[in-house]
Amino acid sequence: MVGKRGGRQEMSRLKGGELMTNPDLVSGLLVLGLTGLAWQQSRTFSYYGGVFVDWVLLILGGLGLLLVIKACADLRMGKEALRLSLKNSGSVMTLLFSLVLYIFLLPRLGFLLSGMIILSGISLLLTPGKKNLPKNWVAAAALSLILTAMFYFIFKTGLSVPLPVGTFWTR
Amino acid sequence: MWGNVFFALNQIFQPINLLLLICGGLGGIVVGCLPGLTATMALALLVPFTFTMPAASGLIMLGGLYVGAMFGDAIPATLINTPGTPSAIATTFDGYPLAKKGLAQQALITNAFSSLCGGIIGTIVLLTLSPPLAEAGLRFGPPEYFWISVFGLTIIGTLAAESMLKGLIAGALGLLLSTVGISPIAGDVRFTFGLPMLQAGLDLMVALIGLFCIPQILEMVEEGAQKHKIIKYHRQRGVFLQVIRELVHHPILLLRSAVIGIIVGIIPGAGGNIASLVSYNEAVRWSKHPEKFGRGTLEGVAATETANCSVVQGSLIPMLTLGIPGSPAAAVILGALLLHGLRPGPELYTTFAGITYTFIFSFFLAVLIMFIFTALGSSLFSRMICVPMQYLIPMIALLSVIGAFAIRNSLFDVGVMLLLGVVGFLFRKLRFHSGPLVLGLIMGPFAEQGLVQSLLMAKATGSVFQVMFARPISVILICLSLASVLWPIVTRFSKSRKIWFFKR
Repeated sequence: MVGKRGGRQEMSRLKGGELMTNPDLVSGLLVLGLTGLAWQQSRTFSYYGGVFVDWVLLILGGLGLLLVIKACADLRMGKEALRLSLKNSGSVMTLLFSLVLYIFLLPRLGFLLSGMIILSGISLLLTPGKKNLPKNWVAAAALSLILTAMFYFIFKTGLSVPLPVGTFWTR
Repeated sequence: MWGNVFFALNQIFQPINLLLLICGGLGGIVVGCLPGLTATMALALLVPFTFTMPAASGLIMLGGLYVGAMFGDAIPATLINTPGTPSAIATTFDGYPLAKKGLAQQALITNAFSSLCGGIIGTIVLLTLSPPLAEAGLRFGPPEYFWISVFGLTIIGTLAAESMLKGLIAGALGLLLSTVGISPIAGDVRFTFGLPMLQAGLDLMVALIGLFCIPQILEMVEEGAQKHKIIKYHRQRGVFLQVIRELVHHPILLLRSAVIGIIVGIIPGAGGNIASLVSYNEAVRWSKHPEKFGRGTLEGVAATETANCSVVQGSLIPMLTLGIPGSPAAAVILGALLLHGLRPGPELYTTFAGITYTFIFSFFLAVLIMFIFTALGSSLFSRMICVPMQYLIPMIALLSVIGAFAIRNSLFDVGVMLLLGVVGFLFRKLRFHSGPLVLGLIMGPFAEQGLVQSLLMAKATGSVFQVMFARPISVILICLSLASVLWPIVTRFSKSRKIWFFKR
């Protein structure tokens, strides 16, 4: 919520898992920044290679500017800013990190092993209640083994799609 | 034409195609039953499985999944008051009250039969309307392709997003992303930042998986585990025929709802949720007993589910003929078409007529098979609602990674998928919609090619105005684009004036 404190409007505040900020202003500024970066990159393009890009950037820049103006106008009028809810942000970040780790491990350990490790981890992360119970570990490991093996078989044998073997094993 | 029809029928009843249709449909019903998963997401995950299949078989499977999801989403809407996909929101208005009254079986049979009617009517319209529309596409030249891309983006930008400004920004971002790589005519290397892997551009399927699947699982993790209380029911004899007999006495309701679904499906950005809501409102308006709606009436359920299912075929009409997907799910199917080397337009109904008619006719069989499954097996499918998140999310994550990898055997694509997934998640947080971005990504190459070829034509004829702004079809498309952008502004302005006058 945008409130007034000592005559100044607060733009952003962290409150118990919620980030209260003006997302329109943030979005508009990001769009303008991206437009500027792309514009700079596009100066080396030829005429027919860059004409479409130029028009898109012009429109994008104009729309971004409109969004910033709208956000500023809303702020002036004291309109309530959107609350960005970031519930369970720890779990979300852990899931993202797991997926990044998966991409890192995939070429090194191969599809089967990396899949089993990462999927077990994700399954355990999402298991409600006490995670260190043996039955949870067994369930997570079994799920990851079944899923990885099943899709390995479907893609490798059924669809003839090559999957990473892993540089660790081919050394 | 008849040659293509017989070929299509022969293809559909091939054992492998029947099996793929049933598997796709069953998968769709399961996806539809699970709140939080969408048909678009499931289609994006299924497309990589179709790489090595013949085009017709792959499309049959995708069509089966799309239809199955539209049948399946009504099951949780009826039994736990939560729509399986956003398209079934309106089904909760009367489906759940019916279930609470002990009439769950009646509601579920109504869902199935109405979806069957909507699917059949929708397929008939798709079959009859799309060939002449595709032929009209023969009159499209580069300027027309440019303006139709602009029209598609303005329409979806204004309809799909909460804010028109944000919708248009998302569309423009999609256009910008589509320029990554080597430019089609001049050969410039654009926005690759020195990475050779980006010279081929961003793959459409990678983008679709990233934008629709990853944000979904991140949101599911954010929401946490949901406990659902499912209304149990016991199947009774004679109810099936009783419900069918009652629904058959409402042919106008079914026809009207199907037409609404088809029209809404044709409009890019307006999906099943809008179709079912509009259809429900019309059903209330034309009913002799409007007071019964909202308290559990079969008419309410029939209206929403008929429209919900006919949207599938409606959204494929502009996609197959002009390359403008009528819904995000149609956008994924468009991606699959492009992957198989098929380009939307008149070519689909001439050179590749066999594949196209096979795909269209498969919908008749798909809706019939899904009707049988859901009418008789809803209680079985309803158990899927309780699948724990810790089993579901790892599976989706694995499929997303394999799907992105399998397209070009590139881990770089997996990284791009994940990056776009984070972008898609942030988009949702900032109240942007991914639909316009996806359409921008799809239409970008057509729009750019149209623009550059038009400029070359203008250089030859000596007049840009004559080429870009004076051709009859271009003029119509320009007017439609302007109308789609200005109309929301005008209505908002006149509403504010009315409020101001009222306050005075």
